[in-house]
This record gives sequence, structure tokens and C-alpha cells, in this order.
Amino acid sequence: MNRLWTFGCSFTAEYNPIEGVYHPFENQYDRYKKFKGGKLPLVWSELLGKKIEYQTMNCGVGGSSNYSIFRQYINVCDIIKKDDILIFGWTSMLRFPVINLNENIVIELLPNATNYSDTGYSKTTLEEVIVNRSHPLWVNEVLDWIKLINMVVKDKGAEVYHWCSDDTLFNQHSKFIDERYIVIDDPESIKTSLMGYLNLPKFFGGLLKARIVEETNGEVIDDHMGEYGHINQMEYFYKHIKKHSKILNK
Amino acid sequence: MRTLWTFGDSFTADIKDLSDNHRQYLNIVKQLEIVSWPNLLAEKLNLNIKNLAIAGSSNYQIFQDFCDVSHLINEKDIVIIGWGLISKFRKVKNNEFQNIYPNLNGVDNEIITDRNQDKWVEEIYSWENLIKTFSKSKYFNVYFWSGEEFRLNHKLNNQTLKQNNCLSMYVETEGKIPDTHLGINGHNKAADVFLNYINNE
Repeated sequence: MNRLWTFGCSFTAEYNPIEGVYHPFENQYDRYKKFKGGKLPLVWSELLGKKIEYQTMNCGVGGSSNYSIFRQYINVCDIIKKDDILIFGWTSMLRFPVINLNENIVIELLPNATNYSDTGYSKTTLEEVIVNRSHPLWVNEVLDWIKLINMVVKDKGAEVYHWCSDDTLFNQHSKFIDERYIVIDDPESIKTSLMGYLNLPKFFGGLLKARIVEETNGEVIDDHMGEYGHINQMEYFYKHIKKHSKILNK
Repeated sequence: MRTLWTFGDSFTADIKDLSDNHRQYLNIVKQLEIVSWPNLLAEKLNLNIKNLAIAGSSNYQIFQDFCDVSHLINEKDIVIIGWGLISKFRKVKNNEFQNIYPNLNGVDNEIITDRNQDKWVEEIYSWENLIKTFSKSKYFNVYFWSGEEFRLNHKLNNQTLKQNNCLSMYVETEGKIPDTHLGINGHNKAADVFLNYINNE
């Protein structure tokens, strides 16, 4: 069976409830699971895999920086085969990896980080790095990775698509956009953020119900996609891939 | 014609803009220029040379330089990537990337502490893994080494060069030039070392 590989941050990853491991603590996904009657819905990558009859290999991890997303791909680049399809969901340009000095592991620093004491970074340094990383020059680093990824994937006889939740990396107005980039395809849209666009009420009969916070009427405060948001995202991606894929249209 | 592509830092870069050390060295050895080992190696291999190494580059820069031209690398080309210290990092200053060398006193100490952790070696190996995968599908040969990062486990490194009498300007001038980069003889010997390595591999 061909495989659909997805790489990215929490906008690609599976829901990850704590499931009582640290009772009585629970995260928003535990609460969402309760709201859904004990069963979490499928995320877009699983839904898309089923739709195109591919085995979904979801490598996305919540909180990932683009460096880690790139690593997710490198970890499996050897085992990607002809006719596989890859979808990269690139994340915020402001995130970056650092070492947790106590545990000697790589962790990600996010722009809103509150717990970074084990990294040796002061708040001032952290803020300086984040401001520095907001410079558009950093975009070229990721775009150059994408260039290499596209080459390797093509040589394997597989197919690759890219989308991003940070429209400073690319959006529908970027000069290099071709069929490999999933961006807003509505020329009327004044939005540039794909995630923001996919949340629009026009996709849901005029209602705001894409995100967990909206689907649960504010009961669970979480901005990630809920059941309807994931279905919409899957349909949007499917439409794009079905239109452009040489593999699916053989 | 096939091409030899080299990427890296000052241990690979062409010596175009002479530093004070270079000028003094050339005065002592009574020569006009230092031809870098990539050029000498390309000649021995009868290949075109594209030496894209830049003195002072961090590994992030080196890897990006490779990615940037990856579409131009052809079947049977040879690629040699010389990594620098894993603790080097980049930041944007005056609208361009500045590569930060970790011995700048008092500057960016917190970042340097982070960047100096052995764990970052794994990032280099991961890039190598992808480049190797690319080389297999594109049918070019790739070799990795490092001029000064001893934590990277490559058969070819600074130690190999020393063992093969690739003399630095410092050694060649008996300490008169305080610079551990290769001198003219060092570059000549280094080209032979790389040639032997490529032939044996």
C-alpha cells in the first residue's frame, strides 16, 4: 500500500490527550475527548489517507519548530518509496530548538515560552533571538531546505506538497508558488494565513465551528482544529492534490 | 565535464582576500599566492571546480549553501563538505547573516553554551543522512570531513591532515605566523590526502 507521509507541528500531529497519566491534570485534548463522548475524531492526515486509500504515516509532533519538522523528514527519507505522497506543514518561523541542559535533549523554544529555565537562556536572550528570527532572511533557510526536499522526493518517484501555518514563510502571493504549494486558492480572499482561511464560516454554512474552541462553544479553550475543521482541511488538501497529482491521476 | 563541489569554512575556502597572516606568510615563503586544496584536487581529478566554501561559515550556512545549489549537482560529480565547529551559529545583522564564532568573549554566552553541547552533532549527522540519500538517487559521490570539530566522527579530519604532514602556516614558519590554517605545502599535501581518500573509498 502506498503511504501518505505528513510532517509538521500540532496542526498536523494527532491529538495527544494525557489520558490520566498525571491525574488529576488534564490538557485541552482530554477535555475535548470528554466533550466528544470519549472518542477523539480523526485528524486531517488520517482522513486524507483514507480518502486516497493510502496508509497514513503521520510524523507531526506538537510544538515542533521547522528544524524539527525537517528532522522528522530526514529520519524517514531513506524509506520513502515511489508513488508515496508527502505533505509538509511548516510552522512559525520564530520557533527554534535548544538543548535542555539537565536532560540533554533537544527541546523547542516557542515565542510564548514560559518554561525555559533548563536551557540556560535568560528571558532577554530568548526575546533577542526571537526578534532576530523575525527577520525575513531566515525564510531563505527553510526555502532552501524545501528546494533539497523537492529534489530528493522527485528523484524517488514520490510527490511532495507544502503548506504552512506561518504565512511569512510563503502564501498565495509568493513568487515561487506552483502546484507543490497548498495555499489559499481564492483570489477574492484578503487573508494570507491558510489556517485562518480554513476557519472561515463560509466553509461551515455560515457558522464558526472549525476550531475546538468554537465547536465546543468555548467549553474547551483550544485554537486547534476540531472535528469539522479537520474534515474541511482534508477536503481542501484533497481538492488540491487531486487536481495536481500525477500519481493519483495515473 | 564533471565537477568537484566543495563546501565548508576557512579550511576549504579559496584564499582570495589575503589576511595579514597570509601576507606575512607569503613574504616569508617568498610566494605570491596560496592555491587552496580544492583547486589542486580538481586538477588532479581532471574536474571542474566549484568551491563554495566561505571562511567563517557556520554549519547552518554550509548546509544552506549546499541546499541552494543542490539542483545543479549532476551524476558522477564529487561533493566534499567540510563542517566547522558545531558551536558556530548565525544571526541576522544589518540585513545579512552573520556567522558567530564561539570565542567572542562575553557575546552571546548563553547561546554559545547551548550551541556547544555535544548533542548538536546529531543535527550534522542528520543532514549528512539526507545528503547521502540525495547522492544515491542522483549518483554523485559525497565525502564529509571537518577541519576543526573533533566531535564529528569522520575518517577524514584535521588529525588526518596533520598525520600526513599537511603543515599549517604556523608549523611551516616555525611559529612565526600565528595561524593554524594550511600553508602552500599544506594545501598541496591536503589535495593528495583527499585524492587518496577518494580513490580508496
